[in-house]
Amino acid sequence: MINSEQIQAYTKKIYENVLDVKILQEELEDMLSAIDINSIEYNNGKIAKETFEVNNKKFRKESLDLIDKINKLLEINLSFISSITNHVTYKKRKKVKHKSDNQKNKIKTIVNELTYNKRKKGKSKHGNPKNKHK
Amino acid sequence: MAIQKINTNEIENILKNIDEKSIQIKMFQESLERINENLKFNEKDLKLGKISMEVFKDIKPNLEKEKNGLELQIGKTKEEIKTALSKLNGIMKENKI
Repeated sequence: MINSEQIQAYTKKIYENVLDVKILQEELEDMLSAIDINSIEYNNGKIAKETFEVNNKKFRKESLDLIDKINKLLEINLSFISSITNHVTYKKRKKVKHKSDNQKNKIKTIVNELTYNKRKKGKSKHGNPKNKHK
Repeated sequence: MAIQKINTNEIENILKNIDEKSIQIKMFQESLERINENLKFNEKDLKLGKISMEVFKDIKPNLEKEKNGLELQIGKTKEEIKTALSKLNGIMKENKI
């Protein structure tokens, strides 16, 4: 039976993440504009080289952090999508007997056979102790 | 500087569609379960002599027809969800930087 409640929980989380991605994309856009403006101001001689470099380093770092956050949220959404796909395509699997179980059973049989043969041999070697005394 | 932004409206519609279709599938599956139970009862009743062979033969094809229809609808709706998920997958990948 499909778990529609679980699917709805996933779709809700996907949408929440999408809204966050949009906000982060807007922030990134502002940050990229800030990088451009910083360069223009430096080229026009409005700010000193030091200020330009400090700003540039800061804006670029913030841009990279934003890109990282966006990509992480999208990655999480991809995993939610994959989970929904699994819910939709879920099929009951037949219980498969593991190879190791079969191997264990084989070993048991061999051990049983060996111990049986050993006992048999032991008996024939020494004979029946009752007969010996006779 | 303008960057490509995620289309929240499009995604909202796709997600709503997935929600609705998953509820539909659940309803179809519940109906399917009931039909399967009725099919079992029908056979049991025949064995116990509660109903005649005529009644049994009258009920069974209708239930099986209904069952097949539901199974087809479930399959179709699942495919529709998969298509929506695939589209969603593409949008997420498209927006990665």
